[in-house]
Amino acid sequence: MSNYPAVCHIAEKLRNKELHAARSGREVMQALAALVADSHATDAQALCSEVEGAIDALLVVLPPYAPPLNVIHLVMSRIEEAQANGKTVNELKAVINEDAENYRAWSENARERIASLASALIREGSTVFTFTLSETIIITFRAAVRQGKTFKVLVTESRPNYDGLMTAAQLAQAGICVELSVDASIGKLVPCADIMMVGAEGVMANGSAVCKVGTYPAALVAHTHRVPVYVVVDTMKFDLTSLVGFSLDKDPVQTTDVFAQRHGEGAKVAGHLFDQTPPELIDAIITERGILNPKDCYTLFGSMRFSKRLGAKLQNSTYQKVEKFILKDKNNV
Amino acid sequence: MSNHPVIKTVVERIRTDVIGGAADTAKEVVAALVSLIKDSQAEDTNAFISEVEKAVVDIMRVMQSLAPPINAMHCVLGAMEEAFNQGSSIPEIKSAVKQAADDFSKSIEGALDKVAQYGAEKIRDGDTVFMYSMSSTVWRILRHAKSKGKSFNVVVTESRPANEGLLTITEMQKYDIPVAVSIDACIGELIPQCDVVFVGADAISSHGFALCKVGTYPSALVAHAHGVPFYIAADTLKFDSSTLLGLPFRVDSIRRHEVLGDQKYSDLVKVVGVLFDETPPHLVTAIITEIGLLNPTACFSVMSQMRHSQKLSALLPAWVKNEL
Repeated sequence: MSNYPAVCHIAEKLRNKELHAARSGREVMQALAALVADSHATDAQALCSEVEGAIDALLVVLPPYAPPLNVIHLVMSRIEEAQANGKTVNELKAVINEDAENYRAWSENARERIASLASALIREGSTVFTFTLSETIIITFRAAVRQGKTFKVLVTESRPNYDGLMTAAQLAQAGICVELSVDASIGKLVPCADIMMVGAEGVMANGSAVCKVGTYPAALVAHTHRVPVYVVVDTMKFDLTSLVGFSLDKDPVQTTDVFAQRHGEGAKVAGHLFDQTPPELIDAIITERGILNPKDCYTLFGSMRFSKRLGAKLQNSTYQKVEKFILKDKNNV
Repeated sequence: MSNHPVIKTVVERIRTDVIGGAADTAKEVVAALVSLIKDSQAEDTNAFISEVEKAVVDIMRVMQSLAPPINAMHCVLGAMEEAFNQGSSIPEIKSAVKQAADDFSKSIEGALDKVAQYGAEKIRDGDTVFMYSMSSTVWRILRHAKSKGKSFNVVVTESRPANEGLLTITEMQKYDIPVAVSIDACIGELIPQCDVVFVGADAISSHGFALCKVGTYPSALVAHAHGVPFYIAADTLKFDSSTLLGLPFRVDSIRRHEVLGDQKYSDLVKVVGVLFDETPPHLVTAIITEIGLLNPTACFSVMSQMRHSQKLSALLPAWVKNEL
């Protein structure tokens, strides 16, 4: 385990779920790079153990976000490489420092690049359906406005948490006309749109997208009515661990999400905060590296650094606290 | 305006929305028309008919989009028109109408029990049943299955904006049926885990589309995509014969405060959507009616066997547009 302050600090923030997915990727990279830079280790082996100790500490508290895990894959693969090729401590420090620099530069450019690609798909005078709240989508819409396009956005509440209402407020602030309804209205709203555009929590190896719950039925409606579905997401959200069979852990809907001072105590509350949209319902994934068919996302997965040792660690760790939600309660039946 | 007190009463009761369900509204409308006809002092048939038609217009002016009372009026007026066209005397017409009204009331009584009985056959021991929103007809099916000793779980979602799904929880708990609840957005996760879906309908069109609480259509799409049987429980009173004339269903919009409450939002944010959506026939395994389980595309055959009034059919286009 690591005592390094930057690592302890970010572990605390992860434990408290203070960071969203993209941010936690950036911060984990920074913390590990700082640990490496400040390390007094005199040989590569000692530095490797220090970094691995920090990674172990982070894995205990890491929420199931793809970006920080991908960062850890990257750093861990550098360690494996250093050990296999007998690199010196300074060589290892240099390579990780360079990774951190690249990551910073990448994250500054990726969003602008995505917004430019995705906003090109919004036609003048068109209607766009989006689900819930996504920073990437908001940036995309703002980019389209800057290009002088007039368009309308349809969005629903996105219970629980009403993230859709925040989208409505932010878009209105940007001068965009918004039409808002309840989640149950997707059957009426989506067919009125020219395109559907959503962000994602993660993209899995088979090309499916893990998004806020309700995205899957909306995509099903879109597909049925021939409305193109675009998932707008940077490649750090491509979940490397899904290559080895892991699925993103999803938080369940809480009792208080359904019954805020309401009747009905005693009923079990079912469901999760995210659902999975299969690749056959997605027309394209828009990434900073280009627009691709979801079924082809392995091409991008294959170019990312994957650590076998991290894969093994995850298999043996408590990282996957899969609480399979089972509707059929045999004790009840 | 009709001067008969029973017509005035039923118009007032419909206008103030104090009658429970659509079937009850149908019963009250039939009873009122029967009293009017019985008490009529008209001496020639034309005066008699125009008196009845005036009452029908009064009722329709206040009537929401409900198929059952419209069907009830089709039945009563249709019987009257048939007798009139045969050149019957006023007492003969009165007795024909009385007969039709009695038959109609009798058919309502038994219908829901039959729907419950047939629907319960589709629930197997150990099943997990998804139902959307609330429906007293689906509740009857579940109660009937329970009374037959079947054990099963029910899953329901809130059904925003009015959260009628939460009423299903209370109802299931009353009958000791285990129930789980979730938000509407979770249909994509929950329905594939269920064995069967039941929903109620507000109206069924002649070409087999079902008008149900908004959110039913996406649920049907999910069920279809995952091979989960999807049943609509609706007695034939819900078959909306105005759709035979190509008229649309009349539906209400979701209001701004139902989504935004009292919160201040920019005028650029509009609230849209309606309270009902339409589920197409190819997503529906069967409509469970009192005459049996029907493929929804068979609705036309059933409707064409129902009694129709020409006068009422002539009034419907204006009624649908709220211009009566």
